[in-house]
Amino acid sequence: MRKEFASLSLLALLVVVIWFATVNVVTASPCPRIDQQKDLNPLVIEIMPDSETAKPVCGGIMTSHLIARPISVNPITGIDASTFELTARIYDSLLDGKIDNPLPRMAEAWQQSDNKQTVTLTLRKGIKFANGDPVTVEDVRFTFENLIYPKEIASSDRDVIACGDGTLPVIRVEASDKISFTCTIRTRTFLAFIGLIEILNKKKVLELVPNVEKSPKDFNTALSLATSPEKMRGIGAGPFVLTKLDPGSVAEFARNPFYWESDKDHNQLPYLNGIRILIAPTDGQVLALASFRNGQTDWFVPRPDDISLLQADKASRGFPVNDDINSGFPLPGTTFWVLSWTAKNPALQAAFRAKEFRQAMSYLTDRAAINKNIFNGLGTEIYWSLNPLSEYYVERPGQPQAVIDRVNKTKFSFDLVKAREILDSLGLKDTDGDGIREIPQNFQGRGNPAGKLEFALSTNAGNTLRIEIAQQIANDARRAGVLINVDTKDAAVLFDKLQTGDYEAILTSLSGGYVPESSANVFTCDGNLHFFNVICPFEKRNNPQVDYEKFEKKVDDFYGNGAVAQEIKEAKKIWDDAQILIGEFQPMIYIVQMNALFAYRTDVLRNHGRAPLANQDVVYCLNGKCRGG
Amino acid sequence: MGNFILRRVLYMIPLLWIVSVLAFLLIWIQPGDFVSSFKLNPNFSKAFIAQLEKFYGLDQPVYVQYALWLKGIVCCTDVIDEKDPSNPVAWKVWSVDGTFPFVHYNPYLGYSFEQRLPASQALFGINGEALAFTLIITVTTLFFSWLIAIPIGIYSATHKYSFADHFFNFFSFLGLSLPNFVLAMLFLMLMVSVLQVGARFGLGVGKLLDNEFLTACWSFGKAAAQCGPWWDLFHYNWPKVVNFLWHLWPPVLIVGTANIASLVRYMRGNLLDVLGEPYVQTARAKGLTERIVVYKHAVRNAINPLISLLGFWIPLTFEGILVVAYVLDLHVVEANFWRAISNEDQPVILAGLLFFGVILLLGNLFSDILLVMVDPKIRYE
Repeated sequence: MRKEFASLSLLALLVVVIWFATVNVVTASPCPRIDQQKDLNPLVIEIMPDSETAKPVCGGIMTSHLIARPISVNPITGIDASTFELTARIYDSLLDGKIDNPLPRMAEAWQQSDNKQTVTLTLRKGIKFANGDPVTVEDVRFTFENLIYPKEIASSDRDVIACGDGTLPVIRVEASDKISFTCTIRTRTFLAFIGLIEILNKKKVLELVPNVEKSPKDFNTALSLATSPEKMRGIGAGPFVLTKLDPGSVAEFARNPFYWESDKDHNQLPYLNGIRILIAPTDGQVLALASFRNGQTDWFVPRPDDISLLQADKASRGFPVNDDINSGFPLPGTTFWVLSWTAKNPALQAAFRAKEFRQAMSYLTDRAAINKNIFNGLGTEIYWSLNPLSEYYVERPGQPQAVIDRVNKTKFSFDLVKAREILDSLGLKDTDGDGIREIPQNFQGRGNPAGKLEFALSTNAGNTLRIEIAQQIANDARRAGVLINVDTKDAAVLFDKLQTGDYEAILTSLSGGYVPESSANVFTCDGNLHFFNVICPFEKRNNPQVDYEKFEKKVDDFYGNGAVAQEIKEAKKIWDDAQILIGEFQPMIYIVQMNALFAYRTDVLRNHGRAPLANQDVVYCLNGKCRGG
Repeated sequence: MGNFILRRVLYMIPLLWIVSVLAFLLIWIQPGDFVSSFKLNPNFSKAFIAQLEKFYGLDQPVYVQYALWLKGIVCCTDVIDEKDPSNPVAWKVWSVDGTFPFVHYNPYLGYSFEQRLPASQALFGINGEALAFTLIITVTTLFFSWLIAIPIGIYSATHKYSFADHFFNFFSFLGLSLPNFVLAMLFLMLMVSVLQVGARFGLGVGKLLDNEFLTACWSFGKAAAQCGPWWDLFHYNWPKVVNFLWHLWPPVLIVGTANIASLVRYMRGNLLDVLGEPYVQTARAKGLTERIVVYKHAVRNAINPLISLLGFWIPLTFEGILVVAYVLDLHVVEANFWRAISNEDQPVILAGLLFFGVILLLGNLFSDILLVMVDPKIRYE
């Protein structure tokens, strides 16, 4: 009996031990080892271990919200932030985008010629696309020469990588792993911008768009939302592959088994098994808040009003959210509203083309009130075309008094009286006594019929902050006799309208804004996103007649000169002048840049660097378990 | 009965035709068309735009445009594309040089240039799931509201000015006065902040499915990674179905609350009128029990106006779902229609107007059939 009891106890103990062992295996799944990929020279990432957990853990699906529908999954023709939210998981670039200090990515080394006009990049040894196809210099050449260079393809990349004189770098395959790019003149940002381009798998592109070499325009609509993720698998070499996409609902990504980054312990990155991006295009910001508070997402970007609610959650029910939601510095990019110089209504078009009219609209934009009332003071008023954090921002400390005086002349702070005076002096008066001004016939000799000063200001559906800003501008404009009707549209539709110029006014934002050269696609006459004047006849650059044509030519010259300026001091002077000119002409009326806000589950997310999607390769969830599983 | 239904269906044809004409004219009188917005776009060549204009008859008089549109719906479109062998040729009707994914399905309702999808897919969902969700929510909401409202209305009428009557009246007025979007917001607040369903029970709010089920199959196919047909009940993904049911009740409750409030008022008022009729007094004088007087004689007459209103109630329910769909991000036809309106997506708006017209007519047909069944005074002839 005793023996039986002892045997049974032993057996039970064994079962318990096996059970614990199994559980341990299941919960702490090991990271894949990078050394399993033969011949690969991995990019080793130095990871600062989190203070709460010394060692990152693999596994989990990180879930977050996106409030605008993406337009496509094409990294070359994509123009909207939502598209880039998806493409940044799938594709990767040759270098990391630091202007003065590029870092290796798909290219493991590079050399510059003595005259700095040629750069030769060496591809990382053993690197593969997400389907196991090797990445070759032919893929790099194909991406540039067949997908970016052809003018039939609507790509902003072409504007950004152009040499200072507008020509495109000449590409030469130097060896099986070496490719060179040569510019006709020495351009300061050349290497960094070449390095930023995401490389596509030629074989996969040709499977999807067989005729692309003969008919490049076919690529404009390739990699659409209707393209099956299965067919796309392996088109990029990014850390994840797209597995499911419902553009109105969700995008799901799984770890790329051939990814070429590792941590110093030889664990293959990324740590996450997958990423899930929920797409809520209707009441997006409201739902994003509800989902986060309800524990359905790992992190989200709150609105200023949401912060107190989250803090109350933390105080009342111990909701695990960070204290430092407000970073204290502005988000990257710029937020603005823009009047279309090619609006269909000829009377409005005539008014919108007048510099003074746009200055009046800038005077009617009450940035201080927007910052105070809508952003709860968590924003920075902006008046010029760069992000206030940019070292080139014209209103930076240490500017000479002469520059400050010129800058202040283009700082159109809210002034209802001045706005009214300008509108009156332009002859835009309320002649029929209905409280709305009229645009006279043949305004400033532009041959237009008479019309009311009434137009639509469109902004993103689901973005309650932008809707409030638009409403505030409309209310102030009404006090000056300008009727603005606010409406909302899907982000994809807004960007379609921006590209075609088929709009009256749009309130939106652009990313970046730190490096002036990166906005060449917006400000140069033939730029892919020259949305304030989509019909910018290139030939008129050499023979400008009216003031807005002269403005376009001057801006083009600034972009040419700024790109080839070799010294930062010289470049800053050129970009100061460019910002002052753009400030004077107000092609875009800059508003307020909200602070970067970031709320995350402190019980889950680690190594996020306040931007989990930007740090997608190293972010991880505690115990390998995120809110998404 | 069969003849009656057939006759009513035949009557619907001219009505539908009138609806289609009105819908088309409504879109046509708007300035511009979907092609005009592409004329400035450098991605679209003049030849391509001309091709589009020709296909849609935009260079033709309005009646030709209408005829082409109608032809696509009732019959077929002209050009057959055989480029993509994965799709049955009979279903696929047009493509332009692979420049656009112009995959169209019959009935061809047009193409949404905003969403780069056939209008039918933009409205009903890529696999028709938005249509399925809409029908499920609508039918469930109607059942729910009638099942609750009719007994309450009867009770209120038969217990006029009692405490319960005042109680139901109060909630009816409350339900009538609270807009659906407020109820939806209150629901979100209640679930997230008060009940904390996510933190306590791991339950999601908003949408029609939890995150992990959004892209999961409804039923499993033979291969592990393959989805089976939706009707294959033996291989259903039951956790997904249960999750859907969890997400189904909020819109049903929110939209149903407003419906119940109105229906209770209607039922109470009608029954009170009928209870005052001489034939009810006669029935009572004959010694019939109050139960028989009320349910056999009074209610059957009092409910008739409500049944005839059913056809009208269906679009009202659609409208209610639209508002709730906006707040809770439900992927239903109403939300897609709203998005089309806000994006000026004309082919989808047109398809939506026609769809809602069809639903209204079907609702009326259904209510007429029901009326004939419950009211002996109404004959099939």
